[in-house]
Order: sequence, then C-alpha cells, then structure tokens
Amino acid sequence: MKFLNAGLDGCAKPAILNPANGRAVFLQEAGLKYGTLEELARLAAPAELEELKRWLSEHPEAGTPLCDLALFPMILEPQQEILIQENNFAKDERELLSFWENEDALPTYYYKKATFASGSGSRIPAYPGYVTELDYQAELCAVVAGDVYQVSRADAASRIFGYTLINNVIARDLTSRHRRPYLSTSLDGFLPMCPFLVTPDEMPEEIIIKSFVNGELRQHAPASLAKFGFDYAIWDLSRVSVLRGGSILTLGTPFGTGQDQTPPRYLKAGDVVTCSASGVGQVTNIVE
Amino acid sequence: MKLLTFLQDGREQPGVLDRAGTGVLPLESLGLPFESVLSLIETASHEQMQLLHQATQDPARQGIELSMVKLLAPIPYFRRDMICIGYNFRNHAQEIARLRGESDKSAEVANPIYFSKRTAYSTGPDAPIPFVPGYAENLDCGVEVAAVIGRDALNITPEAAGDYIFGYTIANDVCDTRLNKAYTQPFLGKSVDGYMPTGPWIVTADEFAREPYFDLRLTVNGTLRQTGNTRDLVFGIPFIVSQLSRNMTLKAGTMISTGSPANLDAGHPDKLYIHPGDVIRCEIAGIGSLTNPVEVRQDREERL
Repeated sequence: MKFLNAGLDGCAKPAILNPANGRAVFLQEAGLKYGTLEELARLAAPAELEELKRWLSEHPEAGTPLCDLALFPMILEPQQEILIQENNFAKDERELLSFWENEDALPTYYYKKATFASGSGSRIPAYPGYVTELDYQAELCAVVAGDVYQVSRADAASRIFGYTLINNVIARDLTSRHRRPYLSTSLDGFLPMCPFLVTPDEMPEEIIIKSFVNGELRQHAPASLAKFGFDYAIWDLSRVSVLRGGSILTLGTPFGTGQDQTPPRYLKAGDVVTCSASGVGQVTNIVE
Repeated sequence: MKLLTFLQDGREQPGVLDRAGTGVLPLESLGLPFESVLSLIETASHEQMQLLHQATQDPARQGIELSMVKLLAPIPYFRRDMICIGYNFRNHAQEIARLRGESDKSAEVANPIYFSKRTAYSTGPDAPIPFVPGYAENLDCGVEVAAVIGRDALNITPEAAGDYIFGYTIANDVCDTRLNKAYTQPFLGKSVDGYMPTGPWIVTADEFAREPYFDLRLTVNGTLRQTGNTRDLVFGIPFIVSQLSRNMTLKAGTMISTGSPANLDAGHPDKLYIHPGDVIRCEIAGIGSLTNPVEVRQDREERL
C-alpha cells in the first residue's frame, strides 16, 4: 500500500493510491477514520488495513487524479518522535566490513525536534546572519507501527508500518557551537518530507538513496551500506522505553553531504535540493 | 496555582491544589473539562484561567485529600521531549572536568549544550527509578528546575521570556553513565523508562518573580548531595528560552530543564552513583519536593 498526504483547497487529508488506476482515495471515503497518517501508523489494526484493500479492489474507479491534488508532507506536524542515526553509513562495502570487526560498535542516536514538516516545493530558510553552514542530508525513514516495547530482535522489522524520506537539513555551524546536532537540525523549515508512506511489501529489494543540488548528484548509496538497520534501532530503543507508533526513525545519511565535499560546499540562497529514495519518492526544495 | 495530574479509581485526570494546599480539585469539578494539564496549557482561555484561579482562592472549595489520590507527573506525556542543557551549573561543569582529569578552565562553555531527553512517559512522585542489573547499573541523578512554555514562542527576546513561561516544576535528571558513554551521545542512557521523574505539580509563573531564582537541593537517604541556586546557572532561563526560540518555534507545553548543580562529595565516581534501596529527594523552594526510590528491574532480554 502506498499512502500519501494530499488535499484540495490547502487542506491535507490522508489518502491511499488506488492500485487499479493510480488515483488517490481519501481514507475517509474508504471508511477509515484516521485524521493523519501518523495516527494510522499508530492505531490501525491489521484487519482495518485488509478491509481497506478489499474496499479498493471493489472500487477500481475510485479516486482523484494526483494532478488535481496538492501534495503535503507525509506528516505535517509530528506529534511523535523523530530519531536520527548519526554517522550510520559506510562509504563502501569494505568500510562496512571493517566497521563490523569492532564488536563493541554501537549506533549514535539523536533527537530532531523540528516542530513541523515542509512539503516538496516549499522553501528551506537559509537564515542569513544566523546560519553559515547550511547542509542537506537525504535520509530514508521507517515509521513505527503501533507502540513497541521490548520487542525481540527477530520481530523488530515487523514493527515497521512503512517507509518515507526526509531531508534532514542541518546548520553545521550551530552543531559545532552547541556541540550537539539538536538545535541545529530543529530550526523551523528544516524538515522537508516526502508525501508518501509506503508499506514494506511494496518496497524494492534494493533501495537507493540520492540527493542532488542544482541537478548535480551529491549522495548516491544503497540502504544496505547502513551500519545499523531499522530493525536494530527498533529493538535497541524499545528495550529501554516505549517507542510510540507513528514515530519516525531515520537510517542516517549517506556520504556526500555538503560537509563531505572538499572543500565543503554548503547550501546558499537559490540552490535547489532534491532528495530521493527508490520506492518512496522524492522531495525538492529551494533555499531562500 | 499548583496544577497536577492524579490517579483516582484507575482514572488519570488533571487537577489543581485547593486554597489550603492539602486537597486536589479535579478540573472537571470546576467546569473546566480539559483532558490533561497539557491541553489546558495549550488551549485554556484567559477567562478559564481566571475561573481556575478563583477556585483555588475560595476557602469553601475543599479538594480530595492528597493522601487519597496518587499523584502522577503533571504532564505524563511530554510534548515530545524534555529539552536539557548540559553543564549549566559552573560547579557541575568543573566537577565533571576534574573527574576526567582536566582543568577547571576546560569546563567553561561558551555556548549552551542543548540536548534532548527522550521521554515516552514521565513518572511522578514515588515512582521507582529502575536499576537494571547487567544493563543500567551506573545511575546518576540531578535536581533541576524545569520551565514549561505557556504559548508558542518564536524569536522572543530574553526580556520577553517571562511572558511565555507558564510555570515551573521539579525534574530529576537520572541517567546511566555507562550507556551514555557507550553510545557516544547522552541519549539512550538518559531515556530509560523512569529516568525522568517530574512533579509533584507545575507552579504557575505568577507565584514567582518575573525572573525567579530557585534554591535546589537533592538528598540521598536524607543526606544532602547537591545544593545550588539557579543564580549560578551559566545560562539563565530567559537567555535559554530566547536562544532556543530563535528561528525555532517552541510550542506551548514544551518543557526545558535547566541543569543540575555539582555533587558535594565528588572526587570519586562511585560517590555519584545511586543504588537499589536509595531514596532520592529533590527539593525546590517555592515548588515542593519530588521523592523517588531506586528499585531493581530485571531486563527482559539479554544483549545479543
């Protein structure tokens, strides 16, 4: 199933792509009462999702063409958490193998507080006079299904409702100044998010994560280069406390951000940034 | 006013202390049907707040005896997380530097170190602080005053910060130092269930000076371990609220914990730790006290 947040007249509502015709069917129309996709991931019972599939198969004509709709970020104002994995990508296979030789290796998590998400086409504020090292980070995300507490490692992957994508925008200079990537990733406008939420059964075998600045390819890596997968994070985080349904976990960002360039190439006003992940979609924003 | 959340007959509901300070008035009994303290902070009108204030001044209104209810954290489900500031008491920063064998000079921070204390559920008074054998055994704690934002704040000046603070409560910043070190960031080790007790209530800002200073004390089994006054914060509350709000909207209900003072008998790391059976009491003049026992909790799964 491919869910999306879309609407008419500037009002976002959760919807699903009708597999028969590629049109968007609002969940309400199909009899599901959830007001946001975050609520859907948090609360929907498997039987409700089966019922939704049946409804769609019985209504192959239903839906509104995507070209008639405005697309919104998958979750407009996250009520649950956004947890980031830092330094989670190896540059290549060899680095990944040598990383795993260190048995004590653990992931690094941090919290992105960002209050609201922005959609494709909206601006990333450059905050001149405040931010000097504005950077992009394409990150594949898993949205947690239902509340998870002390799940086993083997069952952890089954607690993923679906996948989406964010540009984890960061002000590198603020990370240095405040020593943690918390404030620096949470300024208003620093959470561009893709409109789609795609269930695991519809994801391709190999997921490629990319980013482009003004059309130039900057990041390009398979999700398999991640040191710690989503299943590890769900197991690890839910061990100490409840991970709420609807929370967003990211896989971290591949090599190739502005900071990784020699010399570093940070974003400036007028730059167009596109982040994408195969199977999920993309998000494009202009720096202003 | 002292706003709180209490449990009675299995039902969690918001309330306020009565005039005598010994009873709880359920908000719904006052014609204020808010489902939580957080929703009151987010949506209450000026008239509703006045009504609430009048009720707490009325000697005829006697609440349910405090001993008859169980107090929970005033906001059990935070608005996403607790914003924390590392090394914000000068003497605490120096203490950490000494433990690491560094000079006091190295403890000086030019800018606040903000980080998030992920809290799925904040426990309240008397709730256990879990000691998890084989996993979380190196527990440290710290008394902190937490400010609660009252309305959405964006780009506000330090002078205006007082207009945006709803009130203050007590927070005990518990962490496992081994997990913090192993995971590089102070994140997982601070986010274990039960490591963010808050309470016993939120005291509204009108009961304090516009820029209040708080006396903080923490005792372990009755022995004083931390003491300080927020006058000694490296970065004061108005500065913090102003800086955080710069280009970053702080939603109503956001909580900011401002840092804990140094431990009195620091010098040996073992002196920092708390152990099963210990009773931790955090006290802040003008707010009250928050007591939590340390208890063993078995981990369900061995690390693979």
